[in-house]
Amino acid sequence: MFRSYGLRTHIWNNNAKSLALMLGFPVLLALVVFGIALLAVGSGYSSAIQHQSYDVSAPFEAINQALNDPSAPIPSASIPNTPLSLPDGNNSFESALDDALLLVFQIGPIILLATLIWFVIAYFGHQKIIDLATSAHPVTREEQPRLWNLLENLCISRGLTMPSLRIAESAALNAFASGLDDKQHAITVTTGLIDSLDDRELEAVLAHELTHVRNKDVQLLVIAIIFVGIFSFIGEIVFRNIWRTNLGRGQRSRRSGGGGSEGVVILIGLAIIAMAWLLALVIRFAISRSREYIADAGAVELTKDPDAMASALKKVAGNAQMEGAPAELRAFFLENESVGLASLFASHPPISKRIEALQNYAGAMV
Amino acid sequence: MSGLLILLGLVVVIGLVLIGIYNRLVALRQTTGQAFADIDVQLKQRRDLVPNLVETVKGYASHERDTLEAVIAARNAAASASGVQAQAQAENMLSGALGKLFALSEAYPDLKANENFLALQAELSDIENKIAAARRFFNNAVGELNTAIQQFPAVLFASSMGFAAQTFFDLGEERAVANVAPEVKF
Repeated sequence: MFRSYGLRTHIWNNNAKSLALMLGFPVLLALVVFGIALLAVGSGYSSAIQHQSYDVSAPFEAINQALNDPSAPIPSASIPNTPLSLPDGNNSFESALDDALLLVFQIGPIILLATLIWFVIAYFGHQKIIDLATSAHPVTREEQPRLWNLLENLCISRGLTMPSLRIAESAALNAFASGLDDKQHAITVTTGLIDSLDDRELEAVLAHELTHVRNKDVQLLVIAIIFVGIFSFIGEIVFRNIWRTNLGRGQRSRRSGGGGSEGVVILIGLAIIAMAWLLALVIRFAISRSREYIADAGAVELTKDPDAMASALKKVAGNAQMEGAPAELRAFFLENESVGLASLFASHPPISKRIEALQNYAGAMV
Repeated sequence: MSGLLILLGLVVVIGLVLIGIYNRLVALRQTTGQAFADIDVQLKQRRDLVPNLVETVKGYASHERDTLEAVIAARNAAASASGVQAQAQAENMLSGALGKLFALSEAYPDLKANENFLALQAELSDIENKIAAARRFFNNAVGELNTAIQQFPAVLFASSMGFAAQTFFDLGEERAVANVAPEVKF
């Protein structure tokens, strides 16, 4: 990665970073599939069935059962003619890994398809959420000439369709962009923000949100959130079932002739799924943070005024808490203060770091 | 055969990297151009306000001929200056002349009470702020372009492709003064 030495390079580097982070999601998904395969193999399912004759429905049943019926144990004991043949020792561990890899190619396409379907449904489901979750109401030019003109000028200067402008009744100083396509794009600011910021600062905040719209950050974040949703769904199912599975497993491992390696395989599978779940969360928040840096820089690019963005952030700091906003929605805000030491799980970088970036890369002197 | 393929792959990769660097340089130069145009807009607005201001002041302090003429001269010089360096200097002179004019207005209570004068003063002070911000943005963009040009490997081909280091819009020793909007006392 090149070092940033100015506004554009700062933006380029953060874009490259969020792209790399986004690519992490498919990688994690592949890992999770492997983890599931390990679990299946470890708890008795063998891909030996594949050596005999390729049976498409068998692995599907196994997964289907796991997904649809949380009460059913992950191992597909119901699959007929599945030999439980795991020899002892290292050999069995390796063959278990081989089996799991084979299984990946069997269940991979199914999980991919399920993910895609989930994605389409969840993506359009998110359109409404943002609108419903806040009590924002749209405003006209007559009601808010000052705000309207600031936003309109910014849009005209870049030839953009003007997003609809909304105001949320709140004393908190905050703003957010929402909507998944041109018709729905909206920028919402709180009344507190309008009252406390001067024109330059307000313009900077609007430019920040407009940059989110231009960069399609709302879509990006929704995708990231859906990915995390998928990982936590899989994780929850697996971990909720693990106790039940364990109860039944005692008998089965005795039957297959002492299975230390089975336990190891299951543990590895669990570890992979848990790690993917955690990493997905970390990635989601890292993307969110780098988008904030980009939006800050983009606001300076639009307004040509680094000081305005920095001083707006200073005013917002500590006053951004909006009561009653759901946690997922806060990722879209201008500022969302993270509590405690959870900087890995913060949707926004600390204000001090954002101002520092503006000073280092945009020449802000505030 | 495979050696040839590797060589070919290497050439393609290097080519892509060079194209990427070239495109970045173009984007950076574009940014400086836009940023300068934005300063220019503000400077032009300021120059357009000056005749108005002079007319207003003339009504109350017509015998301060020297100061008024200095402002007009500085304004005309700024309007005809070309090149970043010359323009920065000319605008600097205009800032100084305007500063004197506002200082002079202290002695004329009637002038200070004139609404038109007050409006012009406020507007000029606002423009001054915008110029300062736009200038900072421009200098930042120039700094970034200059760094990119001097970096390896761009330094090998940048100048032959027409990328030249640009001059900062520098106000020199007046810089500290210009960062603060002209003081207005009432």
